[in-house]
Amino acid sequence: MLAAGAVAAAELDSTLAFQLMVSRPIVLGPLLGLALGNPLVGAFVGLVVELLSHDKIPIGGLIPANATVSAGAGLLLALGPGAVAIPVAVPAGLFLGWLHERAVDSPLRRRRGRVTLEIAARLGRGEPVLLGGFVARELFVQFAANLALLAAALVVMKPLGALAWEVLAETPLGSGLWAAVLIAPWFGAGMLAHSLRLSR
Amino acid sequence: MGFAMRARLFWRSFFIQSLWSFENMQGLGFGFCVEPWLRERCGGSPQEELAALARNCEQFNTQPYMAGLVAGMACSLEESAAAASPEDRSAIVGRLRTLKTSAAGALAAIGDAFFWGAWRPFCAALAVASGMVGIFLGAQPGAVVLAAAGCYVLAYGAPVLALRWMGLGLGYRWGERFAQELARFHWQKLIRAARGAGLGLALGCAGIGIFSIMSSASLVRGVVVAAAVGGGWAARAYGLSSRRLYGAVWLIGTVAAAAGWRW
Repeated sequence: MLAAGAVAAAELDSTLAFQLMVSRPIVLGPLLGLALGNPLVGAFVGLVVELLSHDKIPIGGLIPANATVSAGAGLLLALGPGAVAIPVAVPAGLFLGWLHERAVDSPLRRRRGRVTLEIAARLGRGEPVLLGGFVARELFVQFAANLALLAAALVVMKPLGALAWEVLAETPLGSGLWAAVLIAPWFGAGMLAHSLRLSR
Repeated sequence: MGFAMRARLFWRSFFIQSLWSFENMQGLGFGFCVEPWLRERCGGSPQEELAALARNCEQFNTQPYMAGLVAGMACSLEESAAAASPEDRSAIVGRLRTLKTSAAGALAAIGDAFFWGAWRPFCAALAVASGMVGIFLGAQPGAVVLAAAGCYVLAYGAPVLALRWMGLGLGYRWGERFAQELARFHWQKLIRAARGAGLGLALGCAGIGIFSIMSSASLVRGVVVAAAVGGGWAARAYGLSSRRLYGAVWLIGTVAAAAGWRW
């Protein structure tokens, strides 16, 4: 749960505060992996999610699937007690990143719209406004929502993921999951090269 | 602008997106950033201070690292407005609004293209390349991945922090000359250089990886990996999302495994 708290806090760096990119999967992966006892698995999961999400950035009104949550949730599933196999943990993490965008990011942006109107109304009436208090409150709300999603995901998806892998491991579907996770860094590298092409 | 005040604005500039909303975008965050300056320099009366805060909380959006330049400029013009006569003040405030809007658009275009479109992917490629170098040199794998992550953070963070800090001072010094001064920088050259270097690193890493798989595992596996790199490029060219591509590879992998291929 401490690691989930660290991921929830790191997620704040992705958009709301700092943006020093410590929330990027390529950084978060090895660090979280180290904390959970396996920096190599952390680096692998981080690299896969980084390469698949490097050009998805929350610019303006765009809210992409959350890469920090994808990598963080994938690693929380893949390491620690009741660990889930990597071929299941990575797609589960990608799914949770997408779910975070729908269930946390979008509603919280709409919530901040209401906060904006409240502050604008107060300023319009000539009332003093403590902007720092609002900033702290919104950061806390985002942190709490991140943590709630990650905790729920751990409780629900760890046993489900372990069960799924028990059923799929020896089947072609399980082999396909291995293929996807092993090939993902390579097609991710192709995507990275495409986004850096000079003819853009 | 003194060091202590600049440090306060610099710290607050990290939270410029904390109150981001569709209605106001970074407006409230911008107001939060320049609030200490307004309180110190424009607070002739509580009403004036609130009016200055209200107009700096109006809708605003730019690339977050570039916002320091606009904040510095806003501080300069707010200071001029506070010192001007009431007749001149409204003209300066009007110019501030116009300059803020035009600067935000221009800086968003430059900042998005440089930081999001070139520098971040370049740093990702640099981290992967540094990790590969470490592995080839025989360093301990755990240390290599942590060093690669550190390399990413340092390479990315250094220009970002420098721009955030220096932007406040430059914007304040430039004031109304903002557009002319900004045009002196060769942004396009910088963007192309970062993109070219990143492309070279990404293709170099992929090439070395494919070569080492071909020489250590098998030619067929090397060809599969090369096809995956090409597939990733083509998928992005045709707008296929990474989630769908991942699903497609899962499907292909499943069919191949059912046909007897061992991954």
